[in-house]
Amino acid sequence: MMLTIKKHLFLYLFILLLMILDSMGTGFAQNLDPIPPGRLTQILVDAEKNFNAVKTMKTLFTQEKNISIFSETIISKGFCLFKRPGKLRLEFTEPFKSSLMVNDDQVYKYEFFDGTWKKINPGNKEILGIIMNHITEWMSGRFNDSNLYEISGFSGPGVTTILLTPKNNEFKKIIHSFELGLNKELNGLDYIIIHETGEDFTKIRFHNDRLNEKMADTLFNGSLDAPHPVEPW
Amino acid sequence: MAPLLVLFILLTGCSPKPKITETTLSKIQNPRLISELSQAICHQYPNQFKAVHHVALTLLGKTYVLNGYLTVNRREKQLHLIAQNDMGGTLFEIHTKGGKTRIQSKTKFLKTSWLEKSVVKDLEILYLPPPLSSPELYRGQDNMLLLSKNQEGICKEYFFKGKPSQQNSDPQRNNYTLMGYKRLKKNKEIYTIGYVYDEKNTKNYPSFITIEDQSLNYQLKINSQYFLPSQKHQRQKIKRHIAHRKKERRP
Repeated sequence: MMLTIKKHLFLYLFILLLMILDSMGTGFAQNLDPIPPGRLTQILVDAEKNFNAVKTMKTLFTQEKNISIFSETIISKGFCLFKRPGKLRLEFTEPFKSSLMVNDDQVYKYEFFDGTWKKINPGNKEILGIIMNHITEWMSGRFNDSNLYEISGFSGPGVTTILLTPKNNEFKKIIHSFELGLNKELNGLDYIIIHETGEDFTKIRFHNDRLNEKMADTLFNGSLDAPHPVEPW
Repeated sequence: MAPLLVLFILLTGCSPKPKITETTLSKIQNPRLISELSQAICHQYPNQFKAVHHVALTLLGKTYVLNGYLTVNRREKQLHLIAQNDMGGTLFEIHTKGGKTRIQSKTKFLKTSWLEKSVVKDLEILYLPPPLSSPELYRGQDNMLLLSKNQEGICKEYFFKGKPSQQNSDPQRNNYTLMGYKRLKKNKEIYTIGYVYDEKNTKNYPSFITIEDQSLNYQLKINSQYFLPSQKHQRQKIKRHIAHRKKERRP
């Protein structure tokens, strides 16, 4: 009798452990249920409408990079500023400082080396412009670029994710897919997962976001020697 | 300090005897110190470690920012690097072991030969430098030491600075920090490295590295973050090693 109770207890603990491990996963869309095409179209329409109500947004982010050759997850931190229609600033603050800005189609990049900010002339300006344009599109809730990506949706309790898989094979060799985690209100992103080659992936979690607060244009001024300072929040 | 280092580097020539006046640079006959400094170059880092490099590569006036994820096993002469665009996406992956290099993946825009001549060479000079055989040692101003070796027309020079708190003590290996490296051909600089150490960094590994390759015409600025094996991990390794040795000794 005692042995049977112990067996049941062991089985129960084992199942509990599996459930905990499962819930600790990376949030990959594959673990969720596919959203039927008709429902996905409606979600995309709703998201774009909701995202469009956001005129300014500032958020902190934590980037978790998982590289096959590292057992550690490499953590970076930073913030993101967005002002409709075309101002975006993406800045890493830890462990290395780096800032990328878009101000109405102009791309600016700053790097912090040996205690000083340096404005650099990026060689891949066009590519950076395309990437930043992508992020601006996503900030505006426009995910459905059928020329570039195959789009699919997944959902679970309180979770809706959009999976974008590049159509271009060369692009696909660098980035296998983007997974965008929408928040419950469908007016912002909770996270982005960039699935790279093999098992490597990068998860960017957004937190402490502030919507529709006053945001000065000078924060996106790329003509300065260093990025304009941002008040912490 | 930095201008003094630049002046020191500019004044120093490349030949078996550096071209510099006796008052500025004097030859030191100290085989023990020479041996210890030579060893210090090879053993600047632990045998195994990982590093993240945030790199600005400047080539033809344009700068490309990359992140490098590196694992090093110095005993096995093994390097494994995954280089990504700073906005994500793997650009190339390189593995070297015992002098043999394998490009595991790369975007079509990068040439294999360029990766081997630049990336692999830079990593090997930084993390797997070969020992210098019979180098000469010179002392400069401010307790600066120069270890120099001329071989087959190429002169290799390593610069060491005395630690401020210990500048007046006897010159011992542990009192000196590697500040730079340069390679010269026919008295002309062809390759230079500079190291900057974060004052808070008690591990004494460079937090900022600059590399300039004058032959291939590129510059690198590298912010570095190191991941060292934990003490627990090291203790486990020592225990395993001792157990292994005991097993070997058994008849």
